[in-house]
Amino acid sequence: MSTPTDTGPHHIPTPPGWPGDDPTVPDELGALGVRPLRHPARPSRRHLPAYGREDVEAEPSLEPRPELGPVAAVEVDEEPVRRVAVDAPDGDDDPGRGLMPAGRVLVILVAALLLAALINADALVAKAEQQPLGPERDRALAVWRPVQDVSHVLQLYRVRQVADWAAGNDHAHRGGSAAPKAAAPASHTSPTTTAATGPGTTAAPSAPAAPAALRTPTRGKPLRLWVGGDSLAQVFGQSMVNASQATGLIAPKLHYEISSGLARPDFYDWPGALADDVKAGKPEVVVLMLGANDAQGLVLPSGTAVPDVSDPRWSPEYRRRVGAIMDQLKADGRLVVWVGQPPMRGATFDARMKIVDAAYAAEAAKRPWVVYVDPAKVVGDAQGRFADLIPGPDGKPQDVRQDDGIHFTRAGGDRLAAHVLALVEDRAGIKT
Amino acid sequence: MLFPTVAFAVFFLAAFTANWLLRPHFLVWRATLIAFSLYFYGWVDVRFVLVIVGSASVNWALALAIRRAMLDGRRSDGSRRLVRLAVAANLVLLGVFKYHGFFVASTADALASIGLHPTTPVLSILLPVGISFFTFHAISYVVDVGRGDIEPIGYADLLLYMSFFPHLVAGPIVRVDELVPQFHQRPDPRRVAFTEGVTLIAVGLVKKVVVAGYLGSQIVDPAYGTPGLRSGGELLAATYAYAVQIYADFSGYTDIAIGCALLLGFRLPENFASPYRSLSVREFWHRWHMTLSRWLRDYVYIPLGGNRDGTRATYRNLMATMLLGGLWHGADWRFVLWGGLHGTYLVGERAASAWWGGRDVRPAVPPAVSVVLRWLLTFNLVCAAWIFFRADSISTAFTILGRIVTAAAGSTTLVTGLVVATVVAALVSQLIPDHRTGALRVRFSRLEWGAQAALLAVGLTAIAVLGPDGVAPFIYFRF
Repeated sequence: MSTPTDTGPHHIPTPPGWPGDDPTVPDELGALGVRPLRHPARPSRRHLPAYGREDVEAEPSLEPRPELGPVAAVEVDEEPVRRVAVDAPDGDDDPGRGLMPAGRVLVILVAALLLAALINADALVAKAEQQPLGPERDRALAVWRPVQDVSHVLQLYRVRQVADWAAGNDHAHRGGSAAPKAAAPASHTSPTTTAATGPGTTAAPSAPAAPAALRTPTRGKPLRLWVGGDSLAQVFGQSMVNASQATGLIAPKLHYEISSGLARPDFYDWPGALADDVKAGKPEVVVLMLGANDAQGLVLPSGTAVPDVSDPRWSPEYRRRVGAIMDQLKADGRLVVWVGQPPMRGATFDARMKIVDAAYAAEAAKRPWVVYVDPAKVVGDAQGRFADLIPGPDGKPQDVRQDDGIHFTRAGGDRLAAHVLALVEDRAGIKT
Repeated sequence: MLFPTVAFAVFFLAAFTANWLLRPHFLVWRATLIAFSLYFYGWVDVRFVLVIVGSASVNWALALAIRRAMLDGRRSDGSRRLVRLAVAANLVLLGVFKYHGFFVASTADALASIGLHPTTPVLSILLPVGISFFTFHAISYVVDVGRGDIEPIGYADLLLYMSFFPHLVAGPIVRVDELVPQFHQRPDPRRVAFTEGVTLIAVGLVKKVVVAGYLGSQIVDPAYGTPGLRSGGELLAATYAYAVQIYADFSGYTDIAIGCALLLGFRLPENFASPYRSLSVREFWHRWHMTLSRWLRDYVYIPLGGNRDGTRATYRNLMATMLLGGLWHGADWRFVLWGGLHGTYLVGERAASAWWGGRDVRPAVPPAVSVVLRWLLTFNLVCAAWIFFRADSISTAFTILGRIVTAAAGSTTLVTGLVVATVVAALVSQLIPDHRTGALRVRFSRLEWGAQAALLAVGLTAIAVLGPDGVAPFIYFRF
């Protein structure tokens, strides 16, 4: 690439025929055989900005361009408007632009991305493993597993390990990330199936006792409430916190984990997290809303993968996990409120949510300390179907769902929270 | 498709290669770039492609009709009517997808107030991402044609102009005469602005993934989600943090968009110029979302009469422009109120400076103090408006404002040292002059290519390590 015009190591020579090759020839791309503008814009009262190096000297780019300034710039008495120029900030020969041939850019970008993939291979594999079981996950793993192998041979994964350590990244109860040993999830049993009673034999309570009675709280000794779950529990949980806080008789705590559920304990370990939270806060009321991410394949304690909710082995295993959580939360004077899924906009998704709801309702019915709440009538239409807008308490329509047709708006979260709170207040003898 | 994902990295490498290889064959190149852009858009939902192709088709046909109705390239009554029709058609499209719920709710409100309770129609329409942006592109095109500023362009050019993937989802809002000529000029493939483009992308990723992601999950979401639990001090800190979050999120996204376009050989207009260093709200609008500001100026403020019809009309036009700008952000009275606040600020500033200008009053404080005071006032006015932008509802916004004023003291579990440092660093960084960062770019440009690749890989790793798990939702997606 050395030509007599080379002035430095970073000067890229102009190839014959390109603009700038011969200073006596006007720099026109037409000379290169480029098709002219098919619908040439008429010269307008605005400048057409300069593109390409041939125009750089023609237009001093630091001139204010009032016609490109914002709202108030039409006035003549304006102070100089900040430059919003669309042309090069410092001319074409500014070394800070790092001009280079497209081919070399491609090589550097590919090299940088490959290197980044090698360094972050563990995280990429972990992320792929967290996807729902299925062909997409298989494909992602087929791509990232070999990268991970190479990364471990070259020891490049250690860069990410050190960085995670330095940044103090520590995901309590989060599976996967930066854990090379988690590379083969299907081969080991899930770590959280503690109450391994096996499907079918789940938690037969000795005798249906009377519904749990709650302590009547006072302002000095408020009722301890824990609310949590997946991303649906974010807005709903915040609404719960706001509404229960306002009573002055309830002390709420909120814990939600985006994308979590019970189907994939390798992604987030809810039994472990709940054990910690219960130990720390000793809640008297536990409100749990999980399941939106659970209509996916799961792995049986035996290590067999069940790819879909339609599989006859799916529901018994899911019910076993739900029951195990309910049993784990059983304690004297504690009420567990299990909130089911609201009706969803997508018909297929809605049908799958009905399957997880059935598991909650059936398991809750066996346990007197658990109350199952079906949100369909609370945040759905009069028939319990999905609706964006439903009449509010004052008759005016309220937008209760976000644009995705899944999550709640604040109004939707508030409605569900008011419903659940009324139930808690009733049990605790709080009069409002 | 989101920018900070592996899928986009692969997509961009393919688009980059195809773009430069096919550049000599104009028709093939243009068709390929359109295909890439529509693929990018259809990644979210294939039906979106129909919406944008339909919009481009209607606007293309209307622009041709407008041009035919003009007399000697000048406006006629017929062309004016057609421009109005075209603008209305675009607004109807936007209204159907974006505002139907708002209109239904507001109409029902009005009917309920006179004692009627109609059954609410249940309409579930998925909002196509970026529709606000490409509708504004389409409106600027037909209006420019109607004004005689530009000639109608070909269908393929228009479709590429509207769907060009770097600016498709969240701007910057580009005018036809800025972008379409670039399609027809062949940039030199030996002079790709590598460092400039890659630095923009890297800085954008840091802003969007690290800064915005961290502040959002650490303080803004919890504080604004449960304001009743928070002290006034925490809510004030969360409001400042939100000011930084929304700037980092949105300007980070445009940085990535501009950087990607640069690597492809296109220059998109700047969208942000250190907005939080502004000493007046007017200056803020010269530095914040600048392509929206100038769009509003060119297609709303000036058509309304601008500042030509005296003081009162100017105030009215400013107010109307800002109210519409607010409504553009979403179908909610909060955004209208946000726009109204900014309109009030602008009118207030104008009235105040007219009053001061009429008198020869010497400032009572030294200039340095005056600068600090003006900065403080401007920043806090802007932040007060952000409260309405971020809160769940108008009543929550007033709750938050009330607590900031009355309940300042209290526990501050959310305001950690790192949160304060991030907010302060982000604000101070707006004072760094460009030549400082320029020197770093020169040093990067002088490195060997292997070292450049290694640095980029390490940078990506740092962003992945410091960013939150998963991709935080992009604030400006819904606008």
